[in-house]
Amino acid sequence: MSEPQASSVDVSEATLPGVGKKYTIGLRSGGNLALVIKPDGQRQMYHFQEAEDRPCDVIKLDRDESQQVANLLGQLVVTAPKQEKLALMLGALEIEWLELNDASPLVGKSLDEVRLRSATGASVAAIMRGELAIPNPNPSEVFKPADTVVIIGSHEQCGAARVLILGSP
Amino acid sequence: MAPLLEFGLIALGLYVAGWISKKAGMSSILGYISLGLLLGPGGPVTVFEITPVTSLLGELGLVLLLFYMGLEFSLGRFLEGKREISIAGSIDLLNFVVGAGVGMAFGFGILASVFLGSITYISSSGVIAKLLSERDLIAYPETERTLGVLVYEDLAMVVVLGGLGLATSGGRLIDFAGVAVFLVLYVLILKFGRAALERLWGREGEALVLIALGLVTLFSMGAKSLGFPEAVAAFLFGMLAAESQFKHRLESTLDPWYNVAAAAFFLDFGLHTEIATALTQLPAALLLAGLTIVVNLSSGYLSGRLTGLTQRASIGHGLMLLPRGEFSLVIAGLAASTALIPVATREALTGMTSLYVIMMVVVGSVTFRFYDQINDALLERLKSPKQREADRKRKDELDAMTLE
Repeated sequence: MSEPQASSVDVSEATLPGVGKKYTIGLRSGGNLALVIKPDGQRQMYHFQEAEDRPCDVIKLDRDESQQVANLLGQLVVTAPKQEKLALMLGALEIEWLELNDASPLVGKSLDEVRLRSATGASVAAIMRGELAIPNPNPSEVFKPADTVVIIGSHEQCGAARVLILGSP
Repeated sequence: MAPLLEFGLIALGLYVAGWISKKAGMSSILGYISLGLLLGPGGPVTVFEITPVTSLLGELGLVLLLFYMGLEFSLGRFLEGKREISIAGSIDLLNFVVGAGVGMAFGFGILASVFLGSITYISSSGVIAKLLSERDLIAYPETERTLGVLVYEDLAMVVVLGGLGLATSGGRLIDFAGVAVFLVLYVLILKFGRAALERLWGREGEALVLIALGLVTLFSMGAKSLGFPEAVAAFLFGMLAAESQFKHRLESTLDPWYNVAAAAFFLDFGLHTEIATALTQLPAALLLAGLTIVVNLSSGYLSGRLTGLTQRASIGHGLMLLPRGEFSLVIAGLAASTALIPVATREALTGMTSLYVIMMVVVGSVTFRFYDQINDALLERLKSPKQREADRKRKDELDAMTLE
């Protein structure tokens, strides 16, 4: 696979006492992206150009704004492989996209009722509902027809979860 | 004045003073101290007297200030960058020499000089953290180093406050016995009291506020009655609370209380300063401020260079550490209540410190406002003539190229 793997992104973490946490990501296109997370939930993104140690731009995001941005950024990553194959292999780890239909046994039930993780070992990483992405859904989230359920687990766990979610392997 | 009337005036007065300083682009500390100075018993117009109300607010402010500092204190951060922080923090100790030297030169005696040294040594983490956020300097590489040095300073300050507190308690054997009892109690709480405390910290809303205020004040007063400095006790208690899994909720619940109490503490300090006496200390305060700027910038630059920051970032590191504030005032307050220092020296010290802190807050606020410009100007000065010539040439060449 020629796709760059997540582990090769260079992230360094630093605690800024009284201010928050800072994550610096070296960008392949040159320069750095620094992400500051404050205790009050505000996020700040700083862009450093190559060989510069002063940022050229700051983006400040409130809690809900950053959630939205995170959703959109996450969605790109999540929807990208959809065209060819609905599963992504990451060594022993597997991520699968399962589309529900009206007949799916899950529809109308909440995540809590389904008990997917205790039954199969795989867990629901996100639910994609039309334009909306729900990462780490709450246990009370109810599945709807046409949802795409993103599950994560080992090959066996995902297989078992597939049976539970789609009603067939 | 009826206590309630007084309280209302204090609350609105602090609000207005803070609002004016914010409008002027300064830290609100400036407004709070000035309010006490100008409208206090020693000022041109007396609106506020020193009363049980102001004393209560001032003492509560001191204790909460230190408690909050303990809560935010991050030993983990210190250990994370142990090498850099140790080097940079040790060089930063040079700022102690400024006050101590000036104190000795003025014939203040060793004890008062140690107090003055501590006053010029300790930067204001409150002012700095606020300015860093407001001016979007958080992601600069020197910010990390600066905040690390502030952790070092906090640690040093606890040792200094503890030492000064003990040195001024009279030094009788019975006092040391009391301190030993306190320390044993602290260790016992640390070992066996955590589960009980954890249950208390788990409360919400007004229950949490009442528990926290009650415990902090009683703990520090208990320490005081055993001869242990109440400020340090409050800090230690804050460190204990920082262990809790509810730390963040505790912080956010207490935040407004803490800010109000801190404002009252600054007001109280201003009230205790005679403006006429303070003005006679103007030359001394100017001297202290001037020396602090020079030494602080040099030590900041040196420690930055020694710990791998670029030339520009090293200058910035020195600039960021300039503001002095709450802790200088805490130390001056302790000095003012020390019977071992002659009254004249104490008054001089109080006056000098309030002017010095006001100056350093102004200098700090201006520095942060024009941070990049000042940083660049200093960087330019630091270059050798040859380097400057080369830079100019390159710029001319670039200009010529764009013209073509």
